[in-house]
Amino acid sequence: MFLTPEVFINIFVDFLIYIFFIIAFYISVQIVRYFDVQKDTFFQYALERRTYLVSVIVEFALFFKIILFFYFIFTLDKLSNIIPGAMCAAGVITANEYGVWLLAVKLLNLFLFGLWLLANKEDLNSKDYRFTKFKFKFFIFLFMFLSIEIFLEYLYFNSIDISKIVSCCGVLFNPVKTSAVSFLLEIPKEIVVSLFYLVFLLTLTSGILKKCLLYFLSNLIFILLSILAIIVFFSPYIYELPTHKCPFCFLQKEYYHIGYFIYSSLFLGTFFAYANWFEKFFFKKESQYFKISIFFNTIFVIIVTLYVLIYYLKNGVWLF
Amino acid sequence: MINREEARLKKDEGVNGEIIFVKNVTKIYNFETNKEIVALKDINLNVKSGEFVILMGPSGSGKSTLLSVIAALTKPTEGRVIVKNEPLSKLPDRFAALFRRENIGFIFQKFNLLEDLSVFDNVILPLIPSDISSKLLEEKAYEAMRKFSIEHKKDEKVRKLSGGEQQRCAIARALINNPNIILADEPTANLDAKLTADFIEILRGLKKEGKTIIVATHDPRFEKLEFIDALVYIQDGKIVKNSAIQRVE
Repeated sequence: MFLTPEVFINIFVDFLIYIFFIIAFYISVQIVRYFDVQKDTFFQYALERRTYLVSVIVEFALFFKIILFFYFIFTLDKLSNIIPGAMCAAGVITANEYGVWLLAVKLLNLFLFGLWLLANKEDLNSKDYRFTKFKFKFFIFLFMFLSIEIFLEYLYFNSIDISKIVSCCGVLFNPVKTSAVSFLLEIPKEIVVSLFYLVFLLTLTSGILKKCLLYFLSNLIFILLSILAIIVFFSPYIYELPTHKCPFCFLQKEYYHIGYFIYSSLFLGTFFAYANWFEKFFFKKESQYFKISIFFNTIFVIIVTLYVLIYYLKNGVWLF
Repeated sequence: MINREEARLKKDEGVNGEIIFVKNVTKIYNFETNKEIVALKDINLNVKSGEFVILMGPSGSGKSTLLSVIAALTKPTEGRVIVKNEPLSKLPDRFAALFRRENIGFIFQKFNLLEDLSVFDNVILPLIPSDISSKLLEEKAYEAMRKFSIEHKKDEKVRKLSGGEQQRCAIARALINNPNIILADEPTANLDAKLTADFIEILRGLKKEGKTIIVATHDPRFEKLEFIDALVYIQDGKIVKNSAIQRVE
């Protein structure tokens, strides 16, 4: 295995967290099978105590996983100094066939962790354990994805071959058919950027009108469109280079790590949109995260738009 | 016409006016280890609203454990405790604490006061987590200190107080929320005869106010009190005698 200090920290911390998850998984299965709040037996009281213990363990572990996600991206970026051909995380993530899947699963898990934490909050706020079984069923579901993530992470880091030259982001995000995502880059950027702002307006309108399902669906589209729009339209303005289309390079210090801020606002905005729907659908609660979600989505849109406007004001041209 | 307070009280009671139900409660410390201690064995006890119950029994008989279980300071190993129609033993800890703060005043044997704090600071402690205004908090504290004649010592550090004063401070703290239920664990164990008599007078007053009171003690003076409603004898974790005292009204 190819071990740098960053890779070691990633794998070691993930492994430690996974041990906690295995314990939590074992107890979760017991809770789902045997928990019955009507019973007054020793085993039931023990399960009630364990629900709290497991909740605390999982809560802490998930909190660390969220931090570790950003560290994982940072690790990829650092590896680009070692892997031949890679200029940023984009080249590193495509160093083998597991990288893209790993990133996708990590992102999915990030959202699922957040939703689990919400379920946990609801459960801890109810005094009759009415959401306890649901929460632990959800954790068992989440555990499957966590296991896939750990497995993929091991395969990914274990399969990186530093003697093999990888493609840099300039090749990967080139509209000429050279990579798996090239077909997306062929979509005219005018269409992408128009759809981006239209869907943002749709999220804004549905958010203000508090149409939960529409807000959820529009945010599902918005996150995908945003990433596409970053690649095909916004990134050249961030790099101030018409040919540089990469969703990773602006995570680097040369761009003041602005990428972490851009992605955090996008993910937080869309996450709270999903959280709205999640709470309404599963807990029958009136949505309470519209404002937070709209706030972060708007921050995201303002930042990426400002790059375009500032570039235009400075240079007097659009990068079409 | 039933006033609102009466209606609220009725709602909290069982069909026969019970406010506390202890159902088949067993408490075993260090359960499933080789150091098991059976503190309570299949205890059943009902206490009606406004009753004054004495738990008698030798040291180690389970009186304190029973009080702790009723106050949800500890959970039973088996069985259930229902207080004011709330399954207290089933509540998650944070809700049990909230319930206790609002409904139960607990007077500990060793008072459990914070010795380096003043009387005033000790008395307001139970109200600090609540979001009541500081003005109301002060009002309640002064009312409680006045009621138990400790107001003149409000700025005194607790460690400088006599045993009787410490106890009055502990009672004021336990009752600052004006709880319906008062539990006292060996409240006179550290007091002389005069202070014990004073304490009994305080209990008499609380009983008159309609409070439900349970006192765990092995002090024989409590057996002879004319205002008690039930004497419960506990031995080796079991109720060996429960004599409800019938009174001609």
